[in-house]
Amino acid sequence: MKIHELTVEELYEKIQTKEIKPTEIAEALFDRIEASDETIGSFLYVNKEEGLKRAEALDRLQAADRMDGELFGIPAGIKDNICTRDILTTCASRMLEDFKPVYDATVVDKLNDENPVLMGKQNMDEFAMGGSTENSYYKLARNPWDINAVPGGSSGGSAAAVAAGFVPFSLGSDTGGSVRQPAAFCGVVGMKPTYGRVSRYGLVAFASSLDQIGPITRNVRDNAKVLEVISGSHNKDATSMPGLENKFLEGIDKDLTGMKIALPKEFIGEGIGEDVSESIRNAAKTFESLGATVEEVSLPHTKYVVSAYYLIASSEASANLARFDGIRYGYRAEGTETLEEHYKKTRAEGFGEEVKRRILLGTFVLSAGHYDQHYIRAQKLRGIIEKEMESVFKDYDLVIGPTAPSPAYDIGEKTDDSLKMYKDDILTAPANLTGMPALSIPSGLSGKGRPIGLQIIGDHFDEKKIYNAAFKFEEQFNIHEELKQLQLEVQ
Amino acid sequence: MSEINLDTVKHIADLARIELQDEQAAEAFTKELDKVVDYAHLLDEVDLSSTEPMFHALDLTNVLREDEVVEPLSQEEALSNAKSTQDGQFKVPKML
Repeated sequence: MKIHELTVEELYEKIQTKEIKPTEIAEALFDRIEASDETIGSFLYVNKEEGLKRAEALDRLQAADRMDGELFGIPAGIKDNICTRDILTTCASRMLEDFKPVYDATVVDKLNDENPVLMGKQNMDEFAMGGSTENSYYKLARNPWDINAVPGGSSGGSAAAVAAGFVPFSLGSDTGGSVRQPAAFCGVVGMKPTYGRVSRYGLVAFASSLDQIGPITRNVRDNAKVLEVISGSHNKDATSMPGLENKFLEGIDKDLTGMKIALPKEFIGEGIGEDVSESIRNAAKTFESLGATVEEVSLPHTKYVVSAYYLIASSEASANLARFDGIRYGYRAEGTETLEEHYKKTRAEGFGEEVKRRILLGTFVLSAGHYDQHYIRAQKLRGIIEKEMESVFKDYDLVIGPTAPSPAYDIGEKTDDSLKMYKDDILTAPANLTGMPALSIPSGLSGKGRPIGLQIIGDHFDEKKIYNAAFKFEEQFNIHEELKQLQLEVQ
Repeated sequence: MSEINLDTVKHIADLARIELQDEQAAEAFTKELDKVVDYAHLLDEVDLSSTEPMFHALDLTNVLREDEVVEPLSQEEALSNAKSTQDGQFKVPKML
């Protein structure tokens, strides 16, 4: 038995039957991280001392037959923009290099209620801005499938760690695709829940009307299980929806006969790689063989998604990141005379280039004379995209397409052209703009042996339907054996 | 004419309270931002006259909670991440 190959559910079972102790699992995975993460770069902080202490306490509970909690003894990785009390939360930025939150995010509270072992905080693009984790202030992350390739981003560390067998699950955050795209690039499963499903309290805000926390796992069932744990509202997040049912495993293996699936032709059209389109067409056939119908539809405003998304996300970011003033927490420039000089130097030295670029873009969009022209028009377009998607969901249960226009690209390939990288969000950003849930699941491997992701989008609060379709698809096609082979190589 | 020039970038950097290292950095930002804003003009070809802006994905309004007293952060905790404090307060450089 190789501990690092086991899924959340398999580990849970082996702990409950006392076949294995929480410390054995934690030690095996900490060893693995120590041996191989120098290459992969998925962790910014490894919580070894505290993690092992926690695992020892769980060992004692196990011995006393008090194994309470849906994640009892299961190792967890958390993206470094989610607040963990007394544990560094840097957002991969110099601005927060020594920031230790004084409270836990709601999702961390909810996890802790189920007794997992926190393994550490994971690498990302600075303040979640980027699609390759190349914008991390601290270090590069690499794709376990090919260390010359990016792991995707911004939750690149979280996805790479799951693929490499460092943790069976991670929590990431998704503002324009930041859970789904790295999951696609690393050959694992990533979910962006409906806006409001999961409380954002304690998630360092990037674009508040788009951000959502979601799980990254090796299979669909684990993903549904983790989302059950982290879902739920909190009175400190007024945009989290109270009173929802959060049971996603129930009926996950239901027959797909009669399910109606739409495949927008724009999602496999111009600008989408041939290997990607082919993989999605094959996935469509798989769904048909399972009894679903798949029909082509059109979402003609897809080509405007990237423009609208970057205008809105950057506007919200420029407002949210105004809080980093070097006074209450975070980096503080030395030797400034006046308050204004203090702000300007602190922010110049604390933020990286891409973060500054987005703050400047957002400030421009919201400034006098440009607000109506850019900001309001982008929000109007967002309304059109929502109506267009809603009209599809009147006739169909789910929408499918690729998660990203291409498989993982080489490190350095897109760093000199930010617009080029922005355009890659065309397939993922619609779910954020509309607030709809969407999941990425592996649907193939490219000619170069890099994973391709299938995206399944649902109507608001239809996560259950997405998991059902994804689970049935996974039974027909998965890369679990390839992933295990890969995990041998990573070691 | 291009919407973003060197003066625009200097102006918005001032609004955003970010010091631009030097002229070269300002020029680099100008080039990048101009490309992105230029691309955003793609939206100009869409007729948006009869559309309402959508600011949010959820229809939640007037979210209220019980008016209960809860333990606030202690002063010590609230100040724990600050680089400069004095007499239990955040310390800042002079304002004028």
